[in-house]
Amino acid sequence: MMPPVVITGLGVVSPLGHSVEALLQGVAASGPPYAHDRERALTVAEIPLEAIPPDKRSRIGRLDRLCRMFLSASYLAVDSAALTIAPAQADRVGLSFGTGLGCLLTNAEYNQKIIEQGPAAASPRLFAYTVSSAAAGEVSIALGIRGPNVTAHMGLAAGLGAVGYGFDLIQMGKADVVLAGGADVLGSALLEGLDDMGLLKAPEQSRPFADAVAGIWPSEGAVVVVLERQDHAGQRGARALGRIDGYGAGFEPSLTRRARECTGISATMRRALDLSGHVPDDIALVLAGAHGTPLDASEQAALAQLFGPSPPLVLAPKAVLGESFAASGVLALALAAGVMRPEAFCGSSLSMAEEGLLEPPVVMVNALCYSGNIVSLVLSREETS
Amino acid sequence: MYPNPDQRAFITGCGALSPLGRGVPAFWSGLLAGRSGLGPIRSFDTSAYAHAAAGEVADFLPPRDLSAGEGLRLDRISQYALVAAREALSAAALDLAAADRTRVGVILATTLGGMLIGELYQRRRRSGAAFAVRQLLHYPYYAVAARLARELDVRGPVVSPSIACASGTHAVGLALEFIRRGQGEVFIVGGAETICEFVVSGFNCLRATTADTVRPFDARRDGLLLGEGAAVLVVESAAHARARGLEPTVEVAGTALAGDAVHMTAPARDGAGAARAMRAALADAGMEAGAIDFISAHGTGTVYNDAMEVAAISAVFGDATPHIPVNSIKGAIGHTLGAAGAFEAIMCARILDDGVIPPTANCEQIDPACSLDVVRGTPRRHAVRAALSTSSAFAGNNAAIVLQRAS
Repeated sequence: MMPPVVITGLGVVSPLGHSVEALLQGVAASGPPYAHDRERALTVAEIPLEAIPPDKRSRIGRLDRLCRMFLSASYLAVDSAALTIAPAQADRVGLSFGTGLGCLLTNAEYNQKIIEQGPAAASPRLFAYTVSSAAAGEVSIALGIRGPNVTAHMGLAAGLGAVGYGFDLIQMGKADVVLAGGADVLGSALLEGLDDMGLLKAPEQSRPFADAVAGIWPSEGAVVVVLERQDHAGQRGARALGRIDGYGAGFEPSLTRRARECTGISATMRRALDLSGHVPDDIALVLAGAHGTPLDASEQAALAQLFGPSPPLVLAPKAVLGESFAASGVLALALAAGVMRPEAFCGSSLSMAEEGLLEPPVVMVNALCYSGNIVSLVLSREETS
Repeated sequence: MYPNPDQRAFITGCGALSPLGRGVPAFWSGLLAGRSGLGPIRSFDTSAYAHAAAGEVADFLPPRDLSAGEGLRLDRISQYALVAAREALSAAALDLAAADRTRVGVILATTLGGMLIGELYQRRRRSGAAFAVRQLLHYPYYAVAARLARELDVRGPVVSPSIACASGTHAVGLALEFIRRGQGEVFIVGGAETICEFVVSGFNCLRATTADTVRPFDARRDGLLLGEGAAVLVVESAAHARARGLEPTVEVAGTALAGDAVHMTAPARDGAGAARAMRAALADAGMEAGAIDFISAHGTGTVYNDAMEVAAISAVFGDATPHIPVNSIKGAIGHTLGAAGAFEAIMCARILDDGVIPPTANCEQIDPACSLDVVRGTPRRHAVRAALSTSSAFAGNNAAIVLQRAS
């Protein structure tokens, strides 16, 4: 019997605000139009750097946007979990980070200087942040995390995949606690590239399961969850915000082709169910990865294949949150935890109750990428197995 | 439900495209000969660079290894990865068409990904020259693994581990973990990199490169040189290999990661993080340190890395340290970054099979402060039942894997 793994903390940095409550309220308000919807990109107006303790802020000046956002989300998560990482426990705390684009913006900044001024102008400070593991490295230095520390790319599914691997690390006995999550950030080089490719589209063209328009309504964000072996959480009196039951990682090679299939997507969702010990009927709500492109049809077909004639409720958060790359899947996970336990996050009632979205016992969260990467994760409200 | 965690994983095929040549035989014979594939960089104009040597893949002609369509469609790094993957699949006698592709995944590490595309895009955007912008879809790091997965038409997990220079070692270990966790049965695993201005200028500006050559554990060592290529292994569950009638000889027995939490670009001087990764990998394999007969060191040839590794290995192996053969392949192929650990895993597999350890190219005058038994000069015949491979990286990442001969 594998040890149950629970979520004991959540740190959210998003264009809608820096809390699960802000996500819930944003989605409950039925999505657009927001004030910033007129913009072509949905950005985080101000990264909550105040979440970082004053004695840890000396390095902020050298950090790129990705590092700042992930570091802030990590401190928000640790604070939410009331977790203290003592040096004696540091080897048993891990870090699992997923990012879609990683340090590409820093790479572009570094490259630009070389192109304009030649290699003599190369900046060692910038070069140090041209590895995608820099963000997790900064978090490990700041929080003193010395256990398994890993960063991985799985396209836009990387953030949710990192949560899955964090869950693996705990169940394999390689850590007691893992900070897991994802982040991606916007910048002019990325927006120029998307624009050059004709892949920027307006929020009005980004209605999941309704539009099939190539391109994205770009967004950004970072979410970190504190994953913990249930007995470890219990010993320190931490509250459980949900239990990860399992996940599947997979791939659908046809997603870049005109004739798209759904075999890889449905097999991945099926694997998530099988590994988590659930059957399709257990799932009360699916948070889909759909974002208003032709990919949505493949996800829809896979959902139909898996759930048959009585599908669960489906919520597609990107209608409100835009496409925040690898942050998307973990933003959806944070939202899933929020709708499961609204009382833990919101003082006020939510209109979602009328739609039957609140307090589902088991939720499936999907993250899909046009590259073909897929992760499907099953979250349960139960605190004990 | 999550399966029996005792599921075992074996290496059933290898493929390599390296500065020592095309294919595993060229890689292996080059290592045994103590040959170095390092030389002046030929792929771009280096006149503005103080240090401009590296290990490049020579004589790579796509039409020889790939179809005309693949040669046109794929960028250089994807070509490297596909050629190495095909060699590995062929060595494994694995026909993917006959496999359940939902149980086949790709784990391909790279620290540079489609950087050649990114560099070209930025240069042409600045100059106003034409550029086929859809290539940018293949610039992000995940794109190389995804492209390989599409070429191979697999539907299992596809991941690009990104812990800088320790990525390749973690890639091999991740295959074992995914197999144990029921995410798949077969993984096409490895790493790929291409030399480009971005990375050469970067290591130059960090003053990490040598003007001379890479001399791991040598008293005169003064820096690294970069390398490129692709190293790919087929890692397969015991059950899957058995069902195909195979009797594989090399097992991926254990894997672990550990963070330094000290510095972004320099290794922890005491090697504590690397030592913890090695100990944890041994524990994961259910082994004591005394079971290890060979260590494949990270051995970059920088002053601090090699000293850190001596400290780390000594901390783990204690009094036995001077009696365990160690080598580094960085003098032969350079530092291939995300691919380094995968190349080293292929070498370890050959050592386990052949009972001979290649020398450390360019290590001539051992550092008096180095207490390791560094194999140098000529290959050493030595029966190896279990090998440890260790890697360390920017951001304080350390990874270690244990490979052993199948019992």
